Amino acid sequence: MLKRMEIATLHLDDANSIDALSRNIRRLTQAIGQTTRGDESLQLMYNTLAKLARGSKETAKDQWPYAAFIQPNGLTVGQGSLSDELLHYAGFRNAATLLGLRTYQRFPLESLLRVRPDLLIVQTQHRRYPSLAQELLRHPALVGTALRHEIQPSALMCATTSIADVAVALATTRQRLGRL
Amino acid sequence: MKVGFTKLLLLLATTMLSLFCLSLILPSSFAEPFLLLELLSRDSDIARTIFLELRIPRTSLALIVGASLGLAGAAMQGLLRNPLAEPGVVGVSGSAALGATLAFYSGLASIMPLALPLGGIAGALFAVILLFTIAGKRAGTATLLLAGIAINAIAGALTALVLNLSPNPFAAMEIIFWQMGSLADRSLLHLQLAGPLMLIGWALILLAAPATRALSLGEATAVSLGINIRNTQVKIIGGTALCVGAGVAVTGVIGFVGLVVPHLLRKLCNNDPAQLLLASAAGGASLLLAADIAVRCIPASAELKLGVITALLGAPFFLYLIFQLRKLEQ
Amino acid sequence: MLAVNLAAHAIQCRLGSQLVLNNISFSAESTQLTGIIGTNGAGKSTLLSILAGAEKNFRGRVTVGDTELAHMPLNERAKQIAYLPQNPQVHWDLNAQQVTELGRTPYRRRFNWLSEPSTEDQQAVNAAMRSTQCEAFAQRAVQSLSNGERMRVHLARVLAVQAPIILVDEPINGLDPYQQIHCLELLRRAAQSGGTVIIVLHDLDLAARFCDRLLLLHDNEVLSLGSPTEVLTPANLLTAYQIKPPVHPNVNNLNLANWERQTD
Repeated sequence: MLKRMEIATLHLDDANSIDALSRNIRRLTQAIGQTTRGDESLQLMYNTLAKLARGSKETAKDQWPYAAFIQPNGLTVGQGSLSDELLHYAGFRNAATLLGLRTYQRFPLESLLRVRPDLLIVQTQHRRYPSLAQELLRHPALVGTALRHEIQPSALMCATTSIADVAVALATTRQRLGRL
Repeated sequence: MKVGFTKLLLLLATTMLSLFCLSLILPSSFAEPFLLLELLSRDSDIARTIFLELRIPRTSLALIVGASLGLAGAAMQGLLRNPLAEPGVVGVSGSAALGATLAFYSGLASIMPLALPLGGIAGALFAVILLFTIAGKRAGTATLLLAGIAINAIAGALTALVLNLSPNPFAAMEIIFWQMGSLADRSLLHLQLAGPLMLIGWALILLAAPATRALSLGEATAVSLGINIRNTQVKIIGGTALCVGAGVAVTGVIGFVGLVVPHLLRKLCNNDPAQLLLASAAGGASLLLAADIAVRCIPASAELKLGVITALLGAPFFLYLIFQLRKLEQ
Repeated sequence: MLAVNLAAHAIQCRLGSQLVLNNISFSAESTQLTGIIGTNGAGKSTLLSILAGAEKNFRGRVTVGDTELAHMPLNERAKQIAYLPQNPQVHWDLNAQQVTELGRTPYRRRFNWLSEPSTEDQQAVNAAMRSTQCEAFAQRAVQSLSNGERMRVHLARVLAVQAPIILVDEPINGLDPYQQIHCLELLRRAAQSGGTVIIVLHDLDLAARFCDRLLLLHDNEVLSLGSPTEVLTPANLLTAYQIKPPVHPNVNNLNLANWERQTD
């Protein structure tokens, strides 16, 4: 419909990796004529990520702690997605891969207890109005089992260069874990 | 009690307890060992947590909710003298879901957890009373089913509205839980909230058991045989509202258990409505335990919802019952 | 059986806006079969249900012996009065024996409902089924029995209560002559063994033949009360049913089938 109204539209595929994200940014900045700013932004992101990667590589990969994404309704994030890649930059292994879970599959509570990840990555909760989806995280079985790292839902929603901040925050948490 | 009934009850009780134990220790997939073995080994902290916080609540709820649904179904059939009366079919479960969702999504249940089952009970009570007013005295099957359709439609629409209006973005999709039912990830808190209220409901219904026998001859005769009809109605209506309301509040709507179980067991109980109450409780518990084991252990990419399984079994059964009844009424 | 009589005192009953019964007083004695007759809508069934305690919405008094019915506890009343309403239903596939056993409900202990019936109960049930000749189909589902057999099962249920007062509402509707006579013989026998039996019926020939006393209701009031010959006079029948006798009546036999309708 927008095309018929002769408004210029640009179709971007969902970015499920950093490279895909870069491609999208480049195409977008080309379309709106802001290529310089776009390139600068991307370069900043790559630099941050590279620094993180160097820090993570100081320990062997099989010593990395495990993290599990637990989104509302117990849905997790699997291999080959943007969030998964960020995990690696921050120096974590994805607990979902231990069970072969894909993105948007439920991480059963029992399995979660058995796998015992060091970190649970959850979304900040809507405090005032409850939902069953969020109640899951308050299950007594989960309380006190692992450290929790909260992410604002908006942070992972749009694939922009600021997702590097998410990775940085995760890396900081990793350091806290290391000191525990 | 004829020898037949003792044997039947013993058989049902044994089945129920076996399924209970099985559900507690059965692993969810081939990769995991039996929980019992894990518990017995030295390093069993996790196994103990799983057992106490996950398996016990889930399995216990399957047992008591199944028993409640079976009992309530048999009780409603005894009171209304119609084999199609069942909490799901006649809208009692749907209304309970409405009451529970109002209590939960308004945030009331976060302040006072007991509000959750009480909301379910209030919803269920409203529906049973309404149903009884419409279809109580001498109403035929058609009236009963139509009343159920109406109550289900209204309750369903209002529940969807409550979920839609909740500011929480996840609420709208949770209609799936409320309408299809699930025992996954229930906690000891749910057991504590629903359990005692259900027990009271059971007691009320069982107190009315002898009356259901006399009611087989119709209300006028039952009164002449010394039955206090008003008392009986209050007990069965109240008991049903308590069992079903508290159950739906923690598991969502699980339908057809109260329809299938009494029908299957009626002949075995010699058509005695009073014996059928106990038998249906044990039978309902067994059915739900078995269904929950299936849900937990059948590998599927998305978790099967409990109510889907009971509906797959129960809905064709329902259709078959309707045909049978139509033949009889002609 | 203890001889108890049942008496109605100035019964007035209004259902909705209609006055169904007006100032009904009479008494039924033991060893007598009392019949209540009258046109459709005259209030016969309502009167019987009031006497049974099933209808509470009325003015006046009903006494059982010396006790007011209204003051009698529910269970006591159930043991004193056995009631069979019109078109009795049997839900579920209960068999004849089970239906008859339900007649012992007032005697079953309340919280022991899973126990076997007591010897006393069993004896009462067996006696009732024997006197109504239901033993042949004791284990058959009542819904599958013929009309006559079903009527006998219901009567067996009533007799199993072993109550001194028996109230039966139109038991012979839809039965063939043999079954009608059988039913009334059973009820007359129950009266003769000391019971106080009241029955509502339409057939005036049978009423005249089997009942010791008749109560004729017309216009919601008592038109006549007494023996069949006292009640079933041409004058009463004209008033109540709008029928008149043929030109050559047979004095000892009413032969109502030959009577003609008064059409002006």
